[in-house]
Amino acid sequence: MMHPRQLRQQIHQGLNFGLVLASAFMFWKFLSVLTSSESPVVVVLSGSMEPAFQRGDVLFLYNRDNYVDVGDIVVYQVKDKSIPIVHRVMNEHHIEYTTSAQQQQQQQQQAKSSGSEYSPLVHTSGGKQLLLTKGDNNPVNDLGLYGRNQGYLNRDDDILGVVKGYVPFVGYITILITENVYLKYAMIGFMAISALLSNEE
Amino acid sequence: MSFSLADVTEYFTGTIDYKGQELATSILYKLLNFFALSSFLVGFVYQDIVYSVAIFGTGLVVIAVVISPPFKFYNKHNLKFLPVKNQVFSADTISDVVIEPIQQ
Amino acid sequence: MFSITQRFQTLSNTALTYAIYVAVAVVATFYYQLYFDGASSVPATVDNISIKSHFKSSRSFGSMNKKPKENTKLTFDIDADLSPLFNWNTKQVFVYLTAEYPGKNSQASNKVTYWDKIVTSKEDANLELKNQRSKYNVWDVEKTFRGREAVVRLEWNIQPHIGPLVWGSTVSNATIVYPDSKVGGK
Repeated sequence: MMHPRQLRQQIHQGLNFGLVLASAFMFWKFLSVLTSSESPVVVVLSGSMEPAFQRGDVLFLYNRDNYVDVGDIVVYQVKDKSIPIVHRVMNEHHIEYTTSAQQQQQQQQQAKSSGSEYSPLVHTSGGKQLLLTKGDNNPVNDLGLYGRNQGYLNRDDDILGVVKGYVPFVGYITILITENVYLKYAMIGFMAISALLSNEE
Repeated sequence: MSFSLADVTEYFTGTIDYKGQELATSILYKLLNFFALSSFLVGFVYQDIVYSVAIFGTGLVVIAVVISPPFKFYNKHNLKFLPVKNQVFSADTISDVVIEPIQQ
Repeated sequence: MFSITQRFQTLSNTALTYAIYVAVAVVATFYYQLYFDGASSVPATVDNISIKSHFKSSRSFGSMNKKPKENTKLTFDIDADLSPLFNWNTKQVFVYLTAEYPGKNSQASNKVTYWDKIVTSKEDANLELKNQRSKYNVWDVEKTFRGREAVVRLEWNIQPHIGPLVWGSTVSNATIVYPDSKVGGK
């Protein structure tokens, strides 16, 4: 049985570590809420957007724009396909359902008669945008990557976010760790050895 | 030559004395300030970001080489420990003390 | 700071903080230089635009269920100097020619890309193209373009070495009118 003081120290260290992990997780979720995107920071995995993006670059996404513009770089995921793709929007076609003055008056009268609040500040009640994308480094557009009868991407359903910011290279470590098995074991081995040889409390 | 685990640990730890730590910290910050500022200025003047990356990168390597190993000039003011006088009871050893019941 | 690992850790953390400071400074000068070089109003001339339209019935030309779909191509001249967009933080400039035209009603709008180019250095930033053919076959969500009028713009996107991406449009006045082709015609 470990000495009580040692045990306390180990638990303390473990809790500290857990605190760091929890804080990191909290920060990630906070970014998700801020950008309204499931995955606010992504690492580029393929070379289909070269020379702009290389493998290992880190992209910052933002998903609060109702409509995406041509030329924007988006991350999308086709339904039933697992890999998100980062490509540029080539074509867009959108319909914005705005309420006309007449419709607003109708809605106001309806609200009065049913006794509920009507806010006249709301002018758009939604819309739909269809997109066609293409990778800068690909010779043809992404039609072949969409679903069987899918001619366009839908901004609301398929787009995970628009790329707004960029940091080069720093994501390459995550690629190496996930793809290179030797590196994973080497890192674990290194951590074990350094823990053995360390002189720290 | 005997290699105890303590010796190996001490070698890899590379302890330096307190004055040395102060020296290392001040060197770290001075050099980092210098390299960060010059990486920005040189890159800006020559309008080429490669210079910035190169200067900052070499700066990191230089600083790592200067402050990491326990050089002799970090160990000039070694702590002098007082000589051992008498055995003193401490909280750590209290469990080693056997308490004998008082004989009635 | 007593051990090698401690010193190395302190170095890494402080260096990371300083790197972020430098990156922020780089981005600040990036915006400053773009503003003072007049990036928001780069002039460009797009003219001599001619439109060709054909009906295609395969999926790679936008056709659904083998129904014919009008595909259009353009030929055009471009004269634009994009060098104000280049500074030390510019990695590449993606320049593209778009046509924006209305949809079925006042709430619908469409925008398509006919041609694009990646410019990687200031030396290549002066575009002088004559009789340039568009790169892509362009089709609309509807079956035909219905003789609509489109505003043609030369737009750009700067990919930085670090920091936020910047989009903009050159100042160019060009409009085209699509031919009013009927399905099965031509």
